[in-house]
Amino acid sequence: MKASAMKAVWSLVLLAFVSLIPLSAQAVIESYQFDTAEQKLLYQKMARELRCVVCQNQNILESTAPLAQDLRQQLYQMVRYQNADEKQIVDFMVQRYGDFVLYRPPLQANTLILWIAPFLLLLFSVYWVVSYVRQTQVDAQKEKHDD
Amino acid sequence: MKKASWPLWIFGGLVALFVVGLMLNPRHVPSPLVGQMAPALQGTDLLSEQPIDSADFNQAWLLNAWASWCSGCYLEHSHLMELTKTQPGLVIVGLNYKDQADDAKAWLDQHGNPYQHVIFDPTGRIGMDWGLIGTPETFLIDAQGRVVDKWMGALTPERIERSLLPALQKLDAKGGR
Repeated sequence: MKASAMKAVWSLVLLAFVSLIPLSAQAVIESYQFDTAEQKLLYQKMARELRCVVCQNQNILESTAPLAQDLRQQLYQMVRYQNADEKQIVDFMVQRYGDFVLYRPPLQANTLILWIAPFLLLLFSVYWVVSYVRQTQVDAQKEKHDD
Repeated sequence: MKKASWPLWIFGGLVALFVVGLMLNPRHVPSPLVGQMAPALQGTDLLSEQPIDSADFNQAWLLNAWASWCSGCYLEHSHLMELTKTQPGLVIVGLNYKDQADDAKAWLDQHGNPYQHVIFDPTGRIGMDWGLIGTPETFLIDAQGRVVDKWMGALTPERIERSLLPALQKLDAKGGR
């Protein structure tokens, strides 16, 4: 009796969680038709990499903001009817909305620190760990000698 | 002891960097248009239904993107009306963004029309060429067709006093009006 009641409660909890899943996947409404698989891939790739400038933490593929909808439409036009390549699409967007529209910042003078900082930090940390370990070894040996 | 403290300095430096970064306003997106030649603005006038081309202006002008559904536009509207009196020579062009023509006309009838031209952009395609993120947004373009500055959000008396009017004075000094 008690076990079956528990089971019912757990099923309800499970049901509640399962029913939450579709909420996050309903953002994109339009369904676009493409002539080739490459066009479709390019559209999806670019829609994922372009930031929605209104709702800043979403790409234009996921966002429901009207501007994101417009940008998807524009992207679709460029991919299907203007035969635009990746560079042309990026140029179009950056010219209007700035580098901010790109989720992957380009490697250029003002983003150099962004790109190399992680490697510099890694280098520094490795150097620090190595010198720290060496120093403690030297200290330990010193102690031994002192004994 | 002194030798081991430099990782601490790097850590402290990073913390300082992050603190500064966190205090920046993420909504402030600098426009790539500022300092560049303005995109061509060609469209149809909402009221006269005549074609408008910014190439014909030949003087400094303000482009103010607005819509009847936009509450920030209502907030700044009286200040734009004021500008038409204090800056009688200034051409103010409205970009009616993603609006219904009837709603837009009714809005201008009700609140007054500060614009010499109102370009009707129901699809937002013209706005896209100007990198419009929302309404209201205001651009200042000099007589040579270069974007001098851009203000996102409603113009307040303070912003007009501290930023827009000095920009106009600078143009006067350089002959950019």
